[in-house]
Amino acid sequence: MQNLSYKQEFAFGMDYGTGDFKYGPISCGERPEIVENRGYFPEKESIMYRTFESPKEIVVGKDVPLYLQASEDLSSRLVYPMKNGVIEKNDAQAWNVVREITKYGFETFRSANPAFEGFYLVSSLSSLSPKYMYEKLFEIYREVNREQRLIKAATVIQQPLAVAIAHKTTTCVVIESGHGNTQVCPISRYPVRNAIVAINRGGGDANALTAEILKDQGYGDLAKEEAIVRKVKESIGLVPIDLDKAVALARKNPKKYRAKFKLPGTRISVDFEENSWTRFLIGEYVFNPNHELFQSYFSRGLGKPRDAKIGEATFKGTLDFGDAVVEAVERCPIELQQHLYRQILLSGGNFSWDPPDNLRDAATDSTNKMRILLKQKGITNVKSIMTESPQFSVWRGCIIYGYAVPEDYEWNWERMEGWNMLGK
Amino acid sequence: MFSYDGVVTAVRILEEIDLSRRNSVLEAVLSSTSLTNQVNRVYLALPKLLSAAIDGSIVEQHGIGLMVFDETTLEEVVAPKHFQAKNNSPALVGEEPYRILHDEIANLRARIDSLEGVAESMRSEIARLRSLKCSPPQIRTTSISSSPSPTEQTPSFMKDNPWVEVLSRRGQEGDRYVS
Repeated sequence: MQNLSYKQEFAFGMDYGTGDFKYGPISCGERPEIVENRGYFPEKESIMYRTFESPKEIVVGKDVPLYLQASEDLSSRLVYPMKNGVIEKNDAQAWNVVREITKYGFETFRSANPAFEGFYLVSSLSSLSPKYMYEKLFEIYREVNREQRLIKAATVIQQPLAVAIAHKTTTCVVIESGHGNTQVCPISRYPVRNAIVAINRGGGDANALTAEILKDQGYGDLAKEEAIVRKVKESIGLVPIDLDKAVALARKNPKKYRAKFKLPGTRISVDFEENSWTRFLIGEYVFNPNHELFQSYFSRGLGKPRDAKIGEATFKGTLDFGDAVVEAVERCPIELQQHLYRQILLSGGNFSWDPPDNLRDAATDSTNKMRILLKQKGITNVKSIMTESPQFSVWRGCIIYGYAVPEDYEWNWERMEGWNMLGK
Repeated sequence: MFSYDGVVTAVRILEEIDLSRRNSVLEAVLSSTSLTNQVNRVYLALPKLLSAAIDGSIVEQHGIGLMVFDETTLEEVVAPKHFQAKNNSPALVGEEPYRILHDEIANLRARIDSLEGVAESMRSEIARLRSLKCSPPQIRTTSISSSPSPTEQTPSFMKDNPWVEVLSRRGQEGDRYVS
């Protein structure tokens, strides 16, 4: 029988994201603690370093800004361990950051409760993370326990599974689209690992196209500033219902669809005037970069998203999101497929598209765009929804998993699930 | 360094380009401190951009004046102390080799003293910062419930969540695993 009352206090979640590390026990409530997933390696010769009573090899968490030295140091000394959800096996620096940030996560919540025997730790990795990353994490957790027994049992789950759990959906397709890439993962009470489709395209690619459009409009100086390009993309980019029709409408009536943007607090402004139709290219490119209109950008130097091997997975470059969902679902058992199409869960910043009401005749949001793309492939009866609180949903899924999975369900490398008792 | 109305003033200027060199601010403070027994007033002048890197109270403690400048303005932020110069600067008046050597030793002593002073100030400043962040670990606890059913404290994302039932059956016979 499960000791749920113990887990109700000591289930602990850790989400190692590309940008942020989200962590905390179930008692955090609705939202976890968040720090940037990074570590700083101070220069040992610096007077600042030597002045500290017990100098650290690596600084993580909220203290990092206190240690930062001159900007020239940052590129080599400030390490973000996760690259597209993967850490190279022999990247000792990155693994050291993961070790320190894990310890940091526990330090905040060290329990004084005499009943404490260690946390039920559930951590989460990208669905594309290779097996050695799981092994490394368990190794780190054993090390943590050698110093002080803080972990009673540990497990690692895939981020799309955690997202589905947090959204109370047991059968669905989770599409997670971040800055660098996109993962499409069918879930049917378990992640269907053999059906995962990876796409080498994310928000960064839409930024690159926006920069090219800015150059064409005479804003070459702004195109060099990544932060400004991103702002322009978010402010004027639109996802078209149908690209050809949207472009025709905007060319006919450029006043209505005018793409105009002023950066708050500055004199910087952008106005596409009669070329405002190009704003539809930005949103379309996220979902489908195969339209002939993009060819002229590729021929003039815009890097075409290419197939890439990252970790153990092959990421496809120009696969449109509709085809990606179809490909993932068709790798699942036939009787499951119709249920999967009925619940498509969109997660990640690359899906934050919502047009103004007066432009809804030509533009749409991400959920509707997915429905349109699937309809073009002959798939109807699709329900597509955006995740709520996308920043916290992985951590929430970890907490529920830690609370509910029985402690006698032991870790198994075949199914990549269960509790690892860490050599108890 | 210049002299006006019998008062010898030294100004150490730090430029924006120095931003690229680590410890340049610290070096500038130390070298300015070493001038305090050669001249009557010592200033450290630095671009406004760099001014945030300097704790005004530290230079003030050592009697050094602080000026900040940009392309159009120069502003005195901290007034310097008036020092009784032990000797005139070699740059102003010629000295005999013996005298120069003597002064150099005095300068080195002064630099060591000031270095110790600055290090001590930094140590106490860092200790203060550490004490701020060393607040007792935040321990969040909830009371252990005797009931396994969701309580009022259960987060909303757990309530009515079908996964709780699905996951609680993990490992039981008949559970289907799709790979």
